[in-house]
Amino acid sequence: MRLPFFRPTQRQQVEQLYRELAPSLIAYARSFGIEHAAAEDAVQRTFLALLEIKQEPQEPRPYLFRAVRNALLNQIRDSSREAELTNDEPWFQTASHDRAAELDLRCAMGALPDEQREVVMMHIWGGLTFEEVAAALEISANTAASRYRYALAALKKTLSPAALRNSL
Amino acid sequence: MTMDDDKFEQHLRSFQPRDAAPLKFSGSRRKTVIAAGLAFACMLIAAAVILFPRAKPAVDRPTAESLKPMRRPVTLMDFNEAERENRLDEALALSAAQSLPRTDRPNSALNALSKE
Repeated sequence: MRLPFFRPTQRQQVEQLYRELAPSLIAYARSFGIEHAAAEDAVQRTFLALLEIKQEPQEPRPYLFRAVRNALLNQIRDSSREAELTNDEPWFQTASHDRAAELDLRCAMGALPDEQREVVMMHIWGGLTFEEVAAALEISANTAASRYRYALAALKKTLSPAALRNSL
Repeated sequence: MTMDDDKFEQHLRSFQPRDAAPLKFSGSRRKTVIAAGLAFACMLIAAAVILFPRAKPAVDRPTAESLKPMRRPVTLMDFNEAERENRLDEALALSAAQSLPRTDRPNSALNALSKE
């Protein structure tokens, strides 16, 4: 049995990373169609696992997105259920936006192909560069950028024109 | 990326992901405490086994020699029986050895003998 004795500095670094990235990672996990609580659990487990690995990853941000992605794919496969993107809980805070705008965005994201949606989630809300997205998804940076452009074009078409007029 | 694309990205970024609950270490901490407790208990048991040899029993195990039948103590009935059967020497010897009364019957032969 391995004893998880944490180094204080490592723990502080992980807490700092969690504060920075957890909201984006949870939103990313939600885009796989799981509920908010389950997404939060998956992200928490990923960070706790990060405390126990011997060698810290050199690029923690793409590493964490990749770890959450793997955990979610396993979870979805194990539970043998189709991911539903239509559950009612919001992915995003609605303080500055009305619920309808958030729902529009969620539906538009849900309509994207999986590989495009995760690139958008990582780049826009995770703050990852295309190189980092490519590292997380094990694809080339060009492929990541290409998927992103297609996704952006699709989102523009899908999102409510009124909402866009208000924001642009 | 066109100017429109930049503005559209800004619009998307204006949606903020929901806040996350604080990171909970409770599960790992509990595991650590349980593991430390188990390790400590094992160390205590090992130390006790090493430091304290088995105590010698207070009473030796019985042997064939130690199982001799106990002699029955001499009683007044033995004395009376010896006297009744006219084994007077034996009766007197028993009486002297065990501080028994000479006789519990005043008209007995032994009583008459001792008066003589």
